[in-house]
Amino acid sequence: MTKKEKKLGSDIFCQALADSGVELMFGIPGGVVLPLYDKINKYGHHIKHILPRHEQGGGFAADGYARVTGKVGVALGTSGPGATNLMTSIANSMMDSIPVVYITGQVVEDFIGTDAFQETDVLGMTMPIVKHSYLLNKAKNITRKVKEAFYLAGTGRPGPVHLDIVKDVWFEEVPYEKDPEMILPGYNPLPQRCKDSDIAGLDKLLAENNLKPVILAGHGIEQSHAQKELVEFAEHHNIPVVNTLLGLGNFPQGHKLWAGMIGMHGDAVANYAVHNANLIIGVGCRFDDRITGKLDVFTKGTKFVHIEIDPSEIGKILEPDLPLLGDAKDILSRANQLLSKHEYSDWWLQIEKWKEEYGFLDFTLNPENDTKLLSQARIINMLSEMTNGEAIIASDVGRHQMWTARFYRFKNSNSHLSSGGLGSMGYGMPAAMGAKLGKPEAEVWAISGDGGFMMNVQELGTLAEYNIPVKIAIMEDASLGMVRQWQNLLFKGNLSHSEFQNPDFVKLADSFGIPAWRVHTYEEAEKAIKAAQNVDGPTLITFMVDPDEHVYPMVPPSTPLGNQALRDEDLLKDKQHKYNEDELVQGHT
Amino acid sequence: MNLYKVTLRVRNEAGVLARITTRIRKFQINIRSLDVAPIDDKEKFSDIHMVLETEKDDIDTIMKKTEALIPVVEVTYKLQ
Repeated sequence: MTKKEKKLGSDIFCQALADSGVELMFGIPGGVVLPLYDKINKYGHHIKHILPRHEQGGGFAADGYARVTGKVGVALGTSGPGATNLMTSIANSMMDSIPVVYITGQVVEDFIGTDAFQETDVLGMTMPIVKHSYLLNKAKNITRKVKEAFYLAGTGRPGPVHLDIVKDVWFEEVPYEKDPEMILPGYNPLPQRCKDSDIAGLDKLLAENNLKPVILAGHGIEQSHAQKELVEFAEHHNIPVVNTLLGLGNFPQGHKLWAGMIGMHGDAVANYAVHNANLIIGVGCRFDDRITGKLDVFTKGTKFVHIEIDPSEIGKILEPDLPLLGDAKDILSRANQLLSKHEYSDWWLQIEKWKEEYGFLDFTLNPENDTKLLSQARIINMLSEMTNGEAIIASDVGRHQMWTARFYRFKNSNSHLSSGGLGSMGYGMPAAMGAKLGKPEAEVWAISGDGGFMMNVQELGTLAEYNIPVKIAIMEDASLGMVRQWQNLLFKGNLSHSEFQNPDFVKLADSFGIPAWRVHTYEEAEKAIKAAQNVDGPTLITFMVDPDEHVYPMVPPSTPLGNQALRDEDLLKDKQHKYNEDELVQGHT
Repeated sequence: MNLYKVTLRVRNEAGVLARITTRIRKFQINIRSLDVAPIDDKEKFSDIHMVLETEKDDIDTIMKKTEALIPVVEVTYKLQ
């Protein structure tokens, strides 16, 4: 046996990233990671490194990259503030189960615990918001821990993994061990496969009299690549499919079985369907409070099937009548073989009636505004038509996010990026940046409110420097729009701290060399969108929209889905939309 | 409120107890008692014994969320 050649820790780390298939990473150098940065260009033929302007922007970009490519994203920050700046994006990846490896530097081992310059207990901080984390303090463990980190992030229910690396490691010289054995005795990415006989239990449920079934398809469909099996399953039994926010795009939106998105601002048809259903088949979803509305009403008189890969999600919110633990693709494809066909014609008559009555997918459902300002719903509908529904859309958080979900007709899976669980403003534009780098052939739009856009506005610098052709659409109303809507409707119009002054976005973009347009009319909007599409580089359009256009339907927090308000009057006057105001104000968000 | 006797088989490594108590803390429940000891000569694994104070409806989810932690190999629990 020949003696292995020794290598520096910094080299070994770069090589381990390359061995794990990393092609792109976002990072900002600082004191304790400088030895790594001294080497990183040597591996440039494997790993492209992008310098964001803020670690949070880099983290969101890595998250966006992971969502569109299905690969593991990588974001890096130095110790202390570099690491704490990553925190929001780590939490975001955790809530939405996105595979990202977050790397942070740590001070030299002798300084740990001394409150040294730029020292923070980052492992302690990330512990509740990661799938797993590692302290890397020995160079000999680099290759194993890096391999494990990527494996953990990308398998089972995906999620963020954090590597905190003490500075000493970069200087240690040890033999390079390619493809080490992983030591993960407590980890099983595919928990015990549910039996065929369990799946056959669905047959009995689906054969019940007067059944009103709905399939609730979540993000797990994309993550298990079960889109085809989902369509087959739904068609086989003729069951309507509704999506969660993150599930949008996993079921063809022109399909007759599709009934829209459910939730606080879901489609009226989807909300009524779920509210009136007596069997809900949840696939790859976690019954978030924004989806269920008032939980005891949601579950009353309804049977549940929960198809889910994470055992700890089954029974967390509700106890399903039939839990099916495992991979959605596997379970649905076996179900398609095993189960007999069903028809639910009466149920469908009801759903068709709702589709007609509530103007399914019709953006003009939103109240006409007589102001001169633009309607966000209409602008987003226009974007959908002008991009043929084929663009990748990263939305920020707020009203435009809900309108994007409702009025952009996503033709492709994995093309809707949204901070669903964490609801983190500032997500849209950096996520779009990561998405464009991951899928350069796709048209990528970031749709953002002005409030959220300002939270990571610094990434305009990154877009400009690397000439990343992200098309930015700002819905400018000088308001925190969703906050304003709640204040209008639930707090008697007291607009407390939700209005602010914007910069001139056109001049701002211009200072980065990014072409930009301000748009006041729909004619200008169409021209600007066309012009932006013809630029081979980043662009920005700011649409002057109505601050008082409200998103409907709206299910007030902690009220049943069936009580959704469809217009202002429902919330302000209509007695049937009663809800307990005290309960709302007291901590129910 | 019930008391549950919980045994966790875990990898014996720095930080594992913090991961577990962090996860349990998220559910705002009280740990009545706790002890940890290695179970093999090589000290690769430890058993953590705890008594938790929580509602019957919550214990399954709390234990499943604890079992989801990577260094936790096995979880058993019963009403005390």
